[in-house]
Amino acid sequence: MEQVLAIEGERVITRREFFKVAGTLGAAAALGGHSFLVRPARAAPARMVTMMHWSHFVPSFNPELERQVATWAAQRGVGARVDFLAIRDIPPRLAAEAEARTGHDVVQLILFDPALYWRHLQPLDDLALELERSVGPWMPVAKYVGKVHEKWVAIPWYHYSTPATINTEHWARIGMGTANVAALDWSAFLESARELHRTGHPVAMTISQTFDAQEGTHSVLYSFGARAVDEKGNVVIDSQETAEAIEYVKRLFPLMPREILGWDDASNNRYMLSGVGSWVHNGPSIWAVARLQKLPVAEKLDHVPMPRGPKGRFRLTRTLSLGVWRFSPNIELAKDLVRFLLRPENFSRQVEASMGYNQPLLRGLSGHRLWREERVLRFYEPVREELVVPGWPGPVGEGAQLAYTAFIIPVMFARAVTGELGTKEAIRWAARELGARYRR
Amino acid sequence: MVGPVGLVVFGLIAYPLFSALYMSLTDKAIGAAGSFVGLGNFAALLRDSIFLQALRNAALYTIVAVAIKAVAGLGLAVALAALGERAAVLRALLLLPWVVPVSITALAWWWMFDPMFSVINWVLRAIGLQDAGIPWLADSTWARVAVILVNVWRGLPFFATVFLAGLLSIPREFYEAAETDGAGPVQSFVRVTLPLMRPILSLVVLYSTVMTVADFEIIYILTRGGPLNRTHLFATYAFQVGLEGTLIGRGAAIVLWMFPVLVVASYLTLRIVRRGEEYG
Repeated sequence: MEQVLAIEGERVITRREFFKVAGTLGAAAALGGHSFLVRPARAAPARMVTMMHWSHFVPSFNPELERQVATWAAQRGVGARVDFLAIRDIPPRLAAEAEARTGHDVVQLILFDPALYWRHLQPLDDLALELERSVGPWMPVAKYVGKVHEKWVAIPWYHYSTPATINTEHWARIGMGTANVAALDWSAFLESARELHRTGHPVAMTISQTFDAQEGTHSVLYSFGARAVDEKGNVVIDSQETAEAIEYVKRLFPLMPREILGWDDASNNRYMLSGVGSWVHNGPSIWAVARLQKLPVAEKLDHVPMPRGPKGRFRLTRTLSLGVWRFSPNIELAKDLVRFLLRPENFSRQVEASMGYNQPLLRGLSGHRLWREERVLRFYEPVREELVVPGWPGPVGEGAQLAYTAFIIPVMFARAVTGELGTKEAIRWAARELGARYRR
Repeated sequence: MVGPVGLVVFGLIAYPLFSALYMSLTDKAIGAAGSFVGLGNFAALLRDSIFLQALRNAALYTIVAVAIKAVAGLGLAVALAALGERAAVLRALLLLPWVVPVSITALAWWWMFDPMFSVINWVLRAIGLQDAGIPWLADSTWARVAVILVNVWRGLPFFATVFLAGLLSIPREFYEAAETDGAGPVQSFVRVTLPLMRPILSLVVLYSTVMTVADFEIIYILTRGGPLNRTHLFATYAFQVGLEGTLIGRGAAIVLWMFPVLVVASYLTLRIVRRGEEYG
């Protein structure tokens, strides 16, 4: 997608700036041998506000976002555009924009990005407080990802959490209705998994180097009372609770397809859409796609909370925040666009366009009729479990991001369940790896 | 003339290289100024088990893939040379894997290795060779086989085409002389073909070593370095640490571990090219 830089009037680039940007991007290209260079800036004819957003899982969301941004632009008498990027392209694009100090005005920031880029982000305390007064309060997870050093550096916009998606037909065959599945704890879940395995419709939890694996494995870990790090970032993974969580997954592993060790983020979707799978941890995107494509399996799909562990029931989520670069020439306009997107009536339409997938981070935006009326979303929103992100309750930032992108927790489980390492050795390996990343 | 060329070499090669080199000596994170840490990043990597795994993976991946491409490429070139003009269409088709963008072909392979819909497993089951199917991307050994297979599939046409050009440039008289001296096909190949092909063989192998050790797309699309980090290479791990993890200084250090391999390969390549010029 083409990038149009928002440049107000004319701006002269100095030779020093030119060499700095060119050198940085050239080095970055040499670094990965991979082309992620930002295209050269082109002056827009009029005042233009640009926004970067991922290409949404639910395709009907993208045109609605474009429509809202266009409406806002028309009201303000400015130009505006949204660039939709594949989710994998967002990290290199953010990195390039932060280094080059030029790019979009409003950027989408996933999970810990606000803490990683806070130096380049415009503080948004005024906007966050204004939103809190009008449609708040903020949920704890929103404050956790949006505030750095007690300042709001991004506005948490929406999140999409990971309950379990089930095929009700397969569960009915073993005498379980959705309400029964929703009430399961991990111990009872294991018994059901055994029966489902016998029927040829196994449950499946991704344990590979893909982001979906983070949510499932962390949900198990937390519900057994284990944590990777504490609030101060001290590594506390080496615990009896972690060992119990791993031992549990070792018992569950033979009842799942072995391919989960190599799954990507779309594999569990395909597993359920094929009609084979009975349970995976995934948001309602599987159901949304099945419904949009009018697949027969859509009628059989439902969502339930992740099973309860000895120390509670946890729902993992991915937060999406909006940030405004400090170097944006349109800071006030960008803030106004963020404010506009979080107006209750606009957020409501975004929820509809995403088929209920987008969940609010401000309490005042919850309670949309879609979540009440759409039967399969009743356990999705509002979230009744404890809503957290991987790395919780540790400090957000570099250590959390490095542990997240290196898949330390999923790999720890994978090494143990495959027998490559014993439970204790796998934990010690994870402790070393986490320590190296949080101590930096 | 020297001025513009010098500017291009400096701007596009020297400056980025030295910039990356400098960055690797700092603790720079994206969006933050870094401070000089000397060889700290390189030392830290020696304590990083994932990096050490990537180092072993890169050695295995490069040696096995390049060896297979060299042997199979030479065999294919000999076969095509023997077929002569009758293989004109085959020669054209052979280049397809090499000319199609790697991201597209890697995606096609990814689909073929898919745990549920793998056409390869379907065929294996259909002919009764494998009932359960091969866990292509779920098992660390098979995942390594899969990524090497795709690399070989993609690189083989280049090897075969260049080797074929080399073979066709050997004068027929050499073979006729060998035949007169009583040499059979194998002896002709060993005594005539291989010695005359040595410069081109070395050149292609060195070039491929550089390209293979720096591979990114195949790994990134098929496995993202998994399972159990068994397919991570320098570039994919550098991407993970330097861009996704934002430690750009550490990421640069990861990539620069390739540097000695690249320097040796470049030096040898230049030597071979120069020798060719001297002979010419």
